[in-house]
Amino acid sequence: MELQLKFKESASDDARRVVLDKLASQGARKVAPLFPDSGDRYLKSLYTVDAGDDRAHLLGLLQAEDAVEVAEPAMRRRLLAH
Amino acid sequence: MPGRVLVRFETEALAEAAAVPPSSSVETRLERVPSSVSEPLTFLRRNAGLRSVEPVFATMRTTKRAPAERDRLATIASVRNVDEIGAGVAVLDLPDSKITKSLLKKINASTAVEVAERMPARWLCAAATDPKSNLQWGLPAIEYFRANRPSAAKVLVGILDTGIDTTHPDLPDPAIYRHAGYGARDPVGHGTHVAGIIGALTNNGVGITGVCDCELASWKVFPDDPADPYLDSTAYLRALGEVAGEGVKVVNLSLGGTEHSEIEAGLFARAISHGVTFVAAMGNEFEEGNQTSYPAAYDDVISVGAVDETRARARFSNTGKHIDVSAPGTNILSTLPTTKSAQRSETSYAAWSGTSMATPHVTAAAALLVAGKPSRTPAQVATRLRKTASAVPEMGGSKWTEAHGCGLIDLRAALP
Repeated sequence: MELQLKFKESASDDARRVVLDKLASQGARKVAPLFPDSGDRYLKSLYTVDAGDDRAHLLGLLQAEDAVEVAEPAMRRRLLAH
Repeated sequence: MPGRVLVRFETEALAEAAAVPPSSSVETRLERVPSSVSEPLTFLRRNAGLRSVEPVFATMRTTKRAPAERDRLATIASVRNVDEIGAGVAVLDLPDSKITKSLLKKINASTAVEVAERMPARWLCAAATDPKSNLQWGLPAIEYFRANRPSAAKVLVGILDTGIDTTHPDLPDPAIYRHAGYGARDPVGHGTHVAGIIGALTNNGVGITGVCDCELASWKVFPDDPADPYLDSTAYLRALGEVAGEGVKVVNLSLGGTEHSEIEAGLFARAISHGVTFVAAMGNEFEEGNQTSYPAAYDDVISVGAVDETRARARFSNTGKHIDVSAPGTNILSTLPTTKSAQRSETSYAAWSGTSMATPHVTAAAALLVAGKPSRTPAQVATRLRKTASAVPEMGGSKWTEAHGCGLIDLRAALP
């Protein structure tokens, strides 16, 4: 299951690294920046997390982190033709 | 120079052929077409350069039949499932120089022909050269033909959807095509349908008419897997982050879901602050609980409900406090990929329904507004569409309702 995460734009690189390492050690299958090549501070603060089967645990972990502004499950959207 | 003859066949002459069940063979149907219908067409093929026969109020399936057989199938299509007023009406395409009084007299002498006449010049002007545009009821409904439409050739319109069939003869090549590793094709067909409503090529002698002549930019955000109805959230969020930087001015979102997302909403707000107008579908779940659908419900996103051919709310179209306007959303003819797929048996053109189909009418209208005045902000585009929308009878004299928003978009009023 996918999670979405936004760091506080004021969060330092070191603070972000701590959170990303914690995710890796706690069972996240993959963590990736949404806009790896962007120089925009807002876009650089966004990540996706493949949480595997432990989504609730990882979501709780992220929501408790000071460096994290938003952590939420990936939204589901579908087509709207009949 | 091309010429057109408008013919109305006697419906009784074709009644037997039209009554043959669709499951029967083509040969069976062809055999039921009487000689009183086929002989004048054969005469025109041999002596007057007849090129094609097209039913006016019906759609012909693509067929590889011989021309004479295709002519006869067209006559059957002109009466099958067509109401009394339009039944039997077809257009014959032949060289203009061949359309003489004596030729028309000869066609009119056939017992199966009620009337045959040169297509009035005003028809040629109004219907232009997109032969299926007369089946697009949505165009006159939004006052397309009477609007003072500017060229939107320099306006880039983003479509976040299932991709686009770039081989379709009625669609422009997209200026941008991001497909996130899924392949540059559209097995589902939804994105190709949306693209046709917005920007099918106009006056090209093929198919339908798009509402505007904008440039298209496609972000494929849905997987091709028929078992997975949900978008790829990573591809989708990336697209939302990229559109402003790519110069996209208007984005079509014929998609939705019930979960609110702060990160998604933040990307919308950021792009809107950079001048991108978003247009999103209200949703099709009115009869299944009418839950609020996002992104239509986010602030400053233009949210679109669907009306049917009578201008009534389409029975499926969600209602809510966030609705802005309505647009045609039932039986909307548009483009589909030219080849079949595991998800779809229809090809080239088909009529689909949904707020997915209403939304691109509004997206194209927004593109025309931006084309007419490039300095317009997303808020100004939304206000203009709302203020110029036409109230529909169901609104009972109100200026806004949860079912219709401000009413049906009106290009003539929006583009003075």
